Amino acid sequence: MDKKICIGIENLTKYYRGSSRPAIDNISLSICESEIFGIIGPNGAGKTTLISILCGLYSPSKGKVFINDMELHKNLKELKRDIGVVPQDIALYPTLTAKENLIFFGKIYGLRGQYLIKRINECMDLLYMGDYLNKKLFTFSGGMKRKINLIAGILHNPCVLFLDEPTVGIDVHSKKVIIDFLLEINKLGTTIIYTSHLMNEAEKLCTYLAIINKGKIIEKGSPASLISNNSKFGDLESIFLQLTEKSQ
Amino acid sequence: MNLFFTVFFKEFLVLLRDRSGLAILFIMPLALVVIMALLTDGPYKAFQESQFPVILIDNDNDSVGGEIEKRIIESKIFIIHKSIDGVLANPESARLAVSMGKFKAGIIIPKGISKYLRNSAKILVAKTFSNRLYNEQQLYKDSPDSLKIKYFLDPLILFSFKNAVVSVLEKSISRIVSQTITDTYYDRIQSQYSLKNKIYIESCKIIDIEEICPADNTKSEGIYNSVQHNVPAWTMFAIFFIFLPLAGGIVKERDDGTFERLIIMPHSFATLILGKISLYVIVGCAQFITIILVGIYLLPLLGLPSLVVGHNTIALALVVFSAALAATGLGVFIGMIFSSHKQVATFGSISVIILSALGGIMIPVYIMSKTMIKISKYSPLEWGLNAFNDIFLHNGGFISVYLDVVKLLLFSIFSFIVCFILYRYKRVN
Repeated sequence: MDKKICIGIENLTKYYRGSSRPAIDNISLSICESEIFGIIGPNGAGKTTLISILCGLYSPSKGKVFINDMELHKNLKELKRDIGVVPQDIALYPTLTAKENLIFFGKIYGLRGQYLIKRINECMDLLYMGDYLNKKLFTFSGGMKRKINLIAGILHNPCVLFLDEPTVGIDVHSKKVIIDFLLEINKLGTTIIYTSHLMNEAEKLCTYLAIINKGKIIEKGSPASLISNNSKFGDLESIFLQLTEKSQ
Repeated sequence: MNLFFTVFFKEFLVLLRDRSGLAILFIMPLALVVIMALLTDGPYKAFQESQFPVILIDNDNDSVGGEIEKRIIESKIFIIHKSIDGVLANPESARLAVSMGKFKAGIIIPKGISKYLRNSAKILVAKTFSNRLYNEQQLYKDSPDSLKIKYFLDPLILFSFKNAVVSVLEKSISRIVSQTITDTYYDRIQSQYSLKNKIYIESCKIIDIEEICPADNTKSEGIYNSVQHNVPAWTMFAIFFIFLPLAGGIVKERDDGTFERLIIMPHSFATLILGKISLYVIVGCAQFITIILVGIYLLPLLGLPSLVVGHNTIALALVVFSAALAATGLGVFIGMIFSSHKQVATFGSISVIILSALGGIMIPVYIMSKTMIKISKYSPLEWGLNAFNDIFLHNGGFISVYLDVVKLLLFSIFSFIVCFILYRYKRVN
C-alpha cells in the first residue's frame, strides 16, 4: 500500500532580493509520512533555503508547499504546531541552563507543567544529558549543545521534523547518539527532513535522498537505488561528487 | 497571555545574567548622574553667586550718588570698587581699566546732580502751586549734558549684563527722582498749611512684583541648581540607553539563529516583541526610580543639594513610561535594521549622543541657535526632558506634559510599525 504524502512541493522557486539567480529553482517533490528524507548538496546548493521555506520561515517567490494536505503559507499558524525545526546554528540562550532553555521553547510550543518537565527529562535521558539539566549552556561542549538544540525542536512531538545539518562539527560518539535518537523518534511516526553534506551519515539515516545543486534537484531516490542506478561511480560520496561536478 | 509571560521571563533571565548589560543600564547612568552633578555644581554656583566688579566714581557725594551705590549693592550682581590699584579712580583711569577688562563696567556720577535734582523738584512744585501747567519736557530740557550719569562697559560682556547695569541705574534714578519730588511736595504742603508735625513719608512698595511658579501659581522656591538640572537630563539619557542591550539582544538572537527559531514557532511576532519591550519598559522605570533615589539621598551626602521632585506623581509616571516605551521603540528599530552587534553599538551609541545633544541634555536648548532649537524639537530626548523639567522645575502636571507624552508615544508606535514592516519585508525577500 502506498504511503500517505506528508509534504508536497510544487514548482518551488525562491529568488533573494537583488539576485538574478534563483536560490531554489522550480523544485517539485513529494515526501511520504514517516520517511527520513535527506536533502544533500554542496555548500550554497540551496539546502538551508529549501528547509527555511518548508518550515515557513521564508515565503517562496513562486510555487506551493503542502503539509498534511494544507497549503503551508496559507495555514502557517495551524501548521506551526505540527512542525519541529532544528536549525544549523545552536539557536539557544547560552546564559540559561539546559532546563531553562527547554522550558522556554516547550512553553512556546504550548507545553505546560508536569508534562513539560517529564518530557524534558525523558529526552535528556535518551541523549545521555540527564546530569546536565541545570548547567548553563555556555559551559557545554559542541556535541552537548547540539543535543539540547535537537531536544528544543522535538519537545512537542512534531509530525514533521526539519533538521538542518544537525551533526555538523561534533564528535562521532555524540553523532551516533543523535542519529540513534532520530531513528527512535522516526519509529514513533515523525517524518524527518534532513539536510547534510555528510554522505555516510545520510546513507545510514535516510530512507530517501534528493541531491540538490544550484537550487535544483539533480537526482533523487532511496540510497540503495541511487547507488544501483549510478553503479559506475561507486559509493554514494562518489556519485554525489560526480553529479554535482557535472551540474557545475 | 502565557506566551507573553514566557517570553518576558526568558528576557528577564537573559538580562539578569548579562552583567555588562546591567552595568550599562544601571551603574553607568548612576555614575554619569553623580559625576555630572558634581562637575557642574561649581559652575552653577559660580554663575548664580558670582558678582561682577564695577568701578564707581561718585563726584556727587550726595543723595543721588548714595542711592545709586545702595541699589548697586542691593542687586548682589556687582561689587563696587572706588579705587584702582589703591589709587582713587578718576574718569580717565576708570575708562582705561574697563577697556582692559579689569572691571566689567564703570559708572560716573557727576558733581552737583543731587543739588540739580532738588532744584528741579522745587521748580516743579512751585509751578504746580502757582497754577502754571506742569511741563515735563521743559524740566528735562533744562538738564545739561554735564549732569548726565555716564556708564561704560567691558566690550566683551554679554548683552544681558548691559541690561542689568542699565536696569539698576534706571531703577535708582527713578526712585531718587520720585522720592525727591514727593519730599519737596510735602515740604511745601507743610509750610503752606503751617503744619506743626513733620509729615513722614514711609518708603513702601504700593505696587510690587513677586516671582511665582508658572505651573501652580505658588511662590517660586527657585530650585535652579546642578542636581535639579542634571538628574532629569541624564535620567532621560539613561532611559534612552535601553536601546543598546535591547537592540544588541535582537541582533544576537538573529546571529545565533534563535530569532529565526522563534519565528518558526507557534506564536506571533507581536507577542515576541511585546515580551521583550515590556521588560525593557520596566527596566526604564527601574532606572528612573534608582536615579531619583540617588538624587534625593546620595547626592546630599556628597555635598550637593537634594533633588526636589514635583508633586504630580501620575504625570511623572506617565512621562517615564512613555519615554521608556519610546526608547524600546528605538531599540527594536535599530535591532531590526542592523545585522551586527558592532553596528548596533557604534550607530546606536552615536545616535543617542546626537539625539541627547539636540535634546538639551548636554547644553540647554534655550541657549542654542534658532536653527538648532528648531531641529531639537524633533529629538525624543527633548520631548522627554521638556516634560521632566515641567514636572521637576515648574511643578507642572498632566496638562503641561501631555503634548510631550503624546509625541513620545507616537514615536514608539511609529518605531514598532516600521519594525513590523521591516520584519515582513525581510521574510518575503
